[in-house]
Amino acid sequence: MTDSVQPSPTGAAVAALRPVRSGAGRTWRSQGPYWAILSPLLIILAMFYFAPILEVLWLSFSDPELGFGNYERIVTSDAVLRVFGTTARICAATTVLAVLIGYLIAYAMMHVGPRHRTWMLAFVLIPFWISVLVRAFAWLVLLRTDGPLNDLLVSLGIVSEPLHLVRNELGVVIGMTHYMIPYAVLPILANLQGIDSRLVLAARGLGASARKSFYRVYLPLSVPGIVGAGILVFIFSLGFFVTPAILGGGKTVMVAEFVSIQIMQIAKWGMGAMIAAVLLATVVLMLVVVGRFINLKEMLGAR
Amino acid sequence: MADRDLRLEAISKVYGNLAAVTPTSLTIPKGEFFALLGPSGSGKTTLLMMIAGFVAPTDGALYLGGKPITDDPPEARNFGMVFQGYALFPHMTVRENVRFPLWVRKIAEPEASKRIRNALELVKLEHLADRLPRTLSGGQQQRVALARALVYQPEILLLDEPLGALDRKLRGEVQGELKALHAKLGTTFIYVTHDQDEALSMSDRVAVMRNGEVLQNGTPRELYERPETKFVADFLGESNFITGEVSGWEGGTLVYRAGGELLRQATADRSLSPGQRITLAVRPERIVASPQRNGEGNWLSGRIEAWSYLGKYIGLKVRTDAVGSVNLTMPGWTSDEALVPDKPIWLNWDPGAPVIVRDDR
Repeated sequence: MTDSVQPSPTGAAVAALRPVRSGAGRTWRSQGPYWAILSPLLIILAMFYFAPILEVLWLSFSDPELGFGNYERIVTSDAVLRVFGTTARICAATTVLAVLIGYLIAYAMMHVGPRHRTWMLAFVLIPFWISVLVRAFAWLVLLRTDGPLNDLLVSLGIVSEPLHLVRNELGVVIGMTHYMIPYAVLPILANLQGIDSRLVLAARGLGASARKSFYRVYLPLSVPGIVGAGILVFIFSLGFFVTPAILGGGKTVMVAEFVSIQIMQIAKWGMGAMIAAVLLATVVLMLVVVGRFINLKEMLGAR
Repeated sequence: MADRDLRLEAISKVYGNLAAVTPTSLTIPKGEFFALLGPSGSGKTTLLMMIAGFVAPTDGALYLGGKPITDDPPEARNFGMVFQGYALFPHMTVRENVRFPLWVRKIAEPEASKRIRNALELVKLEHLADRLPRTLSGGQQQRVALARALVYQPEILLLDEPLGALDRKLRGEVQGELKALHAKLGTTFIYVTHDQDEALSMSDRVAVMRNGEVLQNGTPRELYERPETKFVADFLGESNFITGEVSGWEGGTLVYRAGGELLRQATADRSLSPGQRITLAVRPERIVASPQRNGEGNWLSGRIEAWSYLGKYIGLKVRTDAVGSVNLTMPGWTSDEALVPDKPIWLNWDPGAPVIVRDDR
């Protein structure tokens, strides 16, 4: 799905989606032959996917010693708490911004001709093909204190001294929002395309102004797309590694980077595994809670 | 209230180089049930959308009660609209759908609830007020759309093929209900349809459209009995067309030649002169078939090509030497001789039965 530099947390998010998606109500017996065909795949999945996840879970309880020692750190360690707090804050900001901008783009795409729509879609999708690493460095160049953006703002007299746009949380949010916008645009666009355009006309014909028609008819009908995009963006954001590492300048540590530090630099495998397990549990819990209110299958296009 | 008429003055709509509606002028008096009838692509919906304010006319003007409304946005016109497919808000219950126009108009409680109740009673849907539109049948959805469009007592109700999605039997019922509703409310109804029976049975007046042009507008009876063009004669009901050449006048009756036969036609049009080609339309039910020629009038001989028993009447197709195949219907066949293919037969019609039409095909 995303760049190979940050595969595992995103993979966790996808793994979390899978049980929710496959809850179809047909009987096992009637589908026997199909399961037989699928079984090699299931065995591979079990060996290379579920087994490592179980291994990670086991590590979080067994290293350095058996017990809940690692999990106690959630409440006892300021560092762990800070990392979770930072992650939640950045992900929330990224989600809100990406969904807002994504909605505006999708809305605009719905209201231009088919030719312009194709071009807009191309521009939305082009970033997909550029390495997340390259993009992070590009933002770093653009936003740094003596970068082109600050030069422009200072020379135009809009600000008296350069803004600190990068190597902080703001920089991380900018970089992540940029990365996430396509993930917001696509589900929202799919949803908006499903809205009968005559409904807005009907609202106008019944006496509503353009603004009222939007707020009372169009916007409520696009809520499924907004929520779907929000879930997708938030879950993907939780696992960001490269972008915060580069644009955060080492000061803004998110969960994925924290896990990496625990394992790669100070060899605390149990601690790293615990954080990963908590991340996975959070994602599953979120999907369960949201799934109680909203039809996830429909929202994520799996219907 | 003649001062609340809706007047269209040379209104037109051009898309690129395609004229969706050619300059059209119409006056729709307050309280009339007016139908725009035409095949798909005839511009009837575009015309309705211009009246509603969703489509800006390329040229021309609209007046309501003498006041120009051409530049008013749809929400300022205070017209009710029932869309094709109803366009009910799927995220609102029936009651909320009906409340929507009242909310827009800032009509407060308890007045709003009272009006909603009345509107739902009017369409007999009180018991379904809290259901979502998708749980209702097509006919019920149609009535919700109607209640929603009527709850704010609009001056004019615009209906775009409102019965298009209903099955035939339900259509008949809803047609009756709509007509009763119109009589009860006295609201102007402007009704777009491609169904000629619907237009004829419901409307006070019908405008027949084709290729963006109103060909004829009049009462259903005028349109059926005195169509001005070949298209109108054919689109509204069935017609047989006879082409002939004027040969002269005999008293007040026109004599023309069609396929070697001299036929007579009652007409007030004195401008027709010998040698001129004319087209006549004659309804199948105005032609009488008999085993023998008896008496005066227009008689043509022919042979039966086909016939079908349709319960209420018999449909007969007769091949004539003079004017080709002629379709006719008759209440029954009174002769003892059986109707069999290729049997010789005589056709007769009154000189007043056909209508001279303009050939616009």
